[in-house]
Amino acid sequence: MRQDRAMILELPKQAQREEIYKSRRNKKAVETVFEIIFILCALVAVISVVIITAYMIFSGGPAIGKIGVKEFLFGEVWAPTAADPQFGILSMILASIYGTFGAILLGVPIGLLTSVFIAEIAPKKMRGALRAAVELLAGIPSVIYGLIGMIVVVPLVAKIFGLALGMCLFSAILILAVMVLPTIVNISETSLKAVPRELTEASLALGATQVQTIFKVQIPAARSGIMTGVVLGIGRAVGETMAVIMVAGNVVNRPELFGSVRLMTTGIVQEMSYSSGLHREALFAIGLVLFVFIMVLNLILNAVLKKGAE
Amino acid sequence: MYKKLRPMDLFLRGLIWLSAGVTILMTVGILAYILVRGVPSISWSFLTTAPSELTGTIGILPNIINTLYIVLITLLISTPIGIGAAIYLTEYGGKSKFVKIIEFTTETLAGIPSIIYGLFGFMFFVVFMGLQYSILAGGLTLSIMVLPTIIRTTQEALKSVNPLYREAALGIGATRVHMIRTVLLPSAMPGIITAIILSIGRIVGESAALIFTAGIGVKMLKLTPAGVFEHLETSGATLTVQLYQYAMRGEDLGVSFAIAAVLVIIVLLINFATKRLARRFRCG
Amino acid sequence: MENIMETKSLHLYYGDNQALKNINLQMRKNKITALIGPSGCGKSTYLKTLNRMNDLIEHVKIEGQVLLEGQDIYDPKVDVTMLRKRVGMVFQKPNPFPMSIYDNVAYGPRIHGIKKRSQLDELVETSLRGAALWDEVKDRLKKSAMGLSGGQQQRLCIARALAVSPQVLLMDEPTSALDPISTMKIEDLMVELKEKYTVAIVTHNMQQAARISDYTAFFLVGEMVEYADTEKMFSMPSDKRTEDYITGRFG
Repeated sequence: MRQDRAMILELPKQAQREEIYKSRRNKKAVETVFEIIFILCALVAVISVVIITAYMIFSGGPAIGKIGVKEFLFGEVWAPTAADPQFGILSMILASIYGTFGAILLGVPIGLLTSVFIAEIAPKKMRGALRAAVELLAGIPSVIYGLIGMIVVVPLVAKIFGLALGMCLFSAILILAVMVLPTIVNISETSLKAVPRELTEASLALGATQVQTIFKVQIPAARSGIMTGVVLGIGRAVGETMAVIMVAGNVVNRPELFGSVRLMTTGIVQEMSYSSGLHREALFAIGLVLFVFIMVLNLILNAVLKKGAE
Repeated sequence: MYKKLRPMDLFLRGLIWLSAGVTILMTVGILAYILVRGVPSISWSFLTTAPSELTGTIGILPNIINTLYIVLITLLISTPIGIGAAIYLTEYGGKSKFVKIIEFTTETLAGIPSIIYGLFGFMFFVVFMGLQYSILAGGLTLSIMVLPTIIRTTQEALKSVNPLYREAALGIGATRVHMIRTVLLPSAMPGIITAIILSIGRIVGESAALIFTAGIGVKMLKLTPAGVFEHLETSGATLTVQLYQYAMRGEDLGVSFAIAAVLVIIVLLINFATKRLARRFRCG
Repeated sequence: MENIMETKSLHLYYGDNQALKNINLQMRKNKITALIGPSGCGKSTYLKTLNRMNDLIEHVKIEGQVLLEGQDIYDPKVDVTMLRKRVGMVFQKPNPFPMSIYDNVAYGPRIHGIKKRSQLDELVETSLRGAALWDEVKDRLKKSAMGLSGGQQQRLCIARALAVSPQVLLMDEPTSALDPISTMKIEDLMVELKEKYTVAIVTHNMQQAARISDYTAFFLVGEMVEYADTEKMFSMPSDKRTEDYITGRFG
C-alpha cells in the first residue's frame, strides 16, 4: 500500500520535473538569442566606425597619393579646375585652425565664467532658467546660426571695422565662439559641481573670499573636466560647416582676420556638387584630413579623461 | 576686522556677471530675433503648400514632409539598435574589454562632424549602395549619427534604475530577458523617450550630413499606397537644407526667417518636452 | 584668567529647527577647550558659529552674541574673511588642496597678500615646524600633498591653518579619521600649540578630551549641560546627565 502511494506521488513529481527542465531549456534558448541580439546591436557602433574610417581612407587616400602629400598639405594654390590643376589646401587647413583657435580663445573664458556663475554665484532660483537657456543655445541648428551671422553679424563687423565685406574669418570666429559655448558651459559646470565641498570649505576657513576660492581652488580642481570641455569644443568648431559657410566669404586665401576665408569643411561643401575626377577625389582627401584631425582630438580627449580619472 | 574694498574681487565678480549676461542675452537675442522676423511670414498656406511657379508662392509643405520622413526612418533604425546596445552595455557587458571598445567607438561616433557623415553617406549609401540622392540614404546616414545620443541617454536611464528592482525580479526566478522587458524598460522609459526626443532635435537641426545624401529635391509626396513608399527613393530637402538654399540665394530672406522661426519653435518644444520628462523622471 | 572668545545667549535655527539653545561659554586664552556630547548634540554646529562657517548653509538664523576679544563677530560690518584669518579651522577629514605641500601651506598667506618669496619660505617652514611635519616633508615640498599619509595630511592642514597666524584654532574631530599613532602625534601637537594659540576641539573620544583639554563643555540636544575644568568634569560632574554620559551609560 505504502509503496503504491509513493509511486502515485512520484509520478506527477517526475512529470513536473521534466516540465521544469523543458521550460528551463526553452528559457535558456530565449536568453541566448536575446543576448546575441543585444551584442549585435552593440557591435553596430564598432562596425560603423570601422567602415567610416575605411571609406574615408579609401576615398581620400588615392588623391593624396596622386597629388603628393607635400603638395597637398603644404601647397598654397587651390586651382582644381585650371588647365594645369593645383590642389594645395594649406590655406584651408590654416583657416580651420585659426578659426577654431579664435573661437576657443573667445568661447572658453566666457563659457567658463558663465559656468562659474551658474554653479556658484547665481541665486538658486535663477540656475534652472540659466541652464535651460544654455541648453537652448545647444539646440539651435547650424543653419540658423549661419542665417543670424549673415544678416546680423556680417554687416555689423563690416560697419565696425570699416570693411567692404563683412564676410571674413573674424565673423566666422564670432559665430563659432557662440556655438562652442554650450559645450564648454555644460561640462565645466558639471566638473565644478564635482569639486569636493571640503576643499571649498578649507579655503573659506583660511579667510579666502568666495572669488578667491573659485579661482584658486575650485577651477584648478576642476581643470581636467574643463579641459574635456575645451577639447570637445575644439571638435565642434573644427567640424562646423553650414554656419561657417554662410559667413566666411569662402575665397581660398591665406587666412587674415578680416579677409574672406575658406575652411576645410566649407571647401568640401562648396565644390562637391560640380566636382568630378581628381577634383572630387581631392575633396574627399580634405575630408580625410579633417577626419584625422578629429581622430587625433578623440585620442587627446581619451588621454585627458584617463588622466582626470587618476 | 571690518569690511574692506577688494578691487580684484569686484573686478572678477564683474567679469563673471558679464559673461553670464552675454550668454543669456545672446540666447534670448537669437531666439527673439528669429521669431520676430520669421513668425509674421508664417501663414497657413506657407505651411500647407508646395512652392509654385505658377502663382509665384512659396510653401514648405514638401520640406516638412521630408523632415518627418527622415526623422521617422532614422528613429526606426537607430532606436532599437541603440536601446539594444545600451542594454548590452549596462546589463551584460560588465567591465570587459569589449565594453570599453564599444564605449570608445560610441564616443568616436559622437565626435565625428556632420560633414564627414555627409561624405561617408554619399560614398556608401548614395554611390556604393546605389540609393541615389534619396530620403532613405539621408535617413540611413543620420541613423549612424544619432546612435551615440540614443545609446548614451538610454544607458544613463538604465543605470539609474534602482538595483533592488533588478534583484527582486531575478530573485523570484524571472529570467534576465523577462526582467529587462517587465522591470527595466518600463522604469527606464522616460529616459528612453528623452533619448528619442533629443535625437529628433539633432535630426531636425541637421544639414551638412543631408545635403549630399538626401539632396535638395522638393517633390511633393504622392498620397497613394505606392507613393508613400516611393517617396523614400526621391531626393528631398529638409527644412534646414531648404533654409540654407534660400539664404545662400540671397533673395527670399523672409522665407529663410520663416523657416528659421518654424525650426526655433520646434527646438523650443523639444527643450520643453525634455525638461518635463526630466522632472517626471526625477520624481518617479 | 583671560577670555579670548565669549558666547552670550546664542540660539541657532536651521529653518524651523532649533539646533542650539541659549549657549553661554567663555573660552580661556591659551587653553584647550573640548566640546563633547553624543552625535547630533550641536557641538560641531557650535564650533562652526565661532568662525561663521555656518554662513555657508542656507536658512540658518542666529541670535545672541559671539565676541572675539570683545568684538561681536556677527556684527554686519565685520569682514568674514578677516574673522576666519583670526579664527582658523581644521576639519574632520584631512582636506589638503590638490597642489604641492608648499603651495598648500602658502595658500593662506598668499590670499592675504604676502607675495615675497623669502617671506613665504619662512612662513612655510615655521608653520610646518609648528605642525611637527617639517622633518618629514622638507625634502619634498614641491611634491603633491595628496601623496602624504592621512596623519601627515592632517598635520599639513594644521600647518596650513597656522600659516595665517590665527589666534584661535577650531578643530572638528581632527583625529576621527586617523590611526592611533597619528592620533597620538596630533594630540601631542595640540598640547604644544596651546602655548601660542587657543584651541577648541570637538571630539567623540572622551579619553582624548580628558587627556588633552583644560576645560570641557558637555552638549546634549542643542544645550550646553555643563562647562567646567576638565579634571573636575571627569572626576565629579555636577549634572546627572554628564555623569551618565562620561560613565558610558548612553551616547
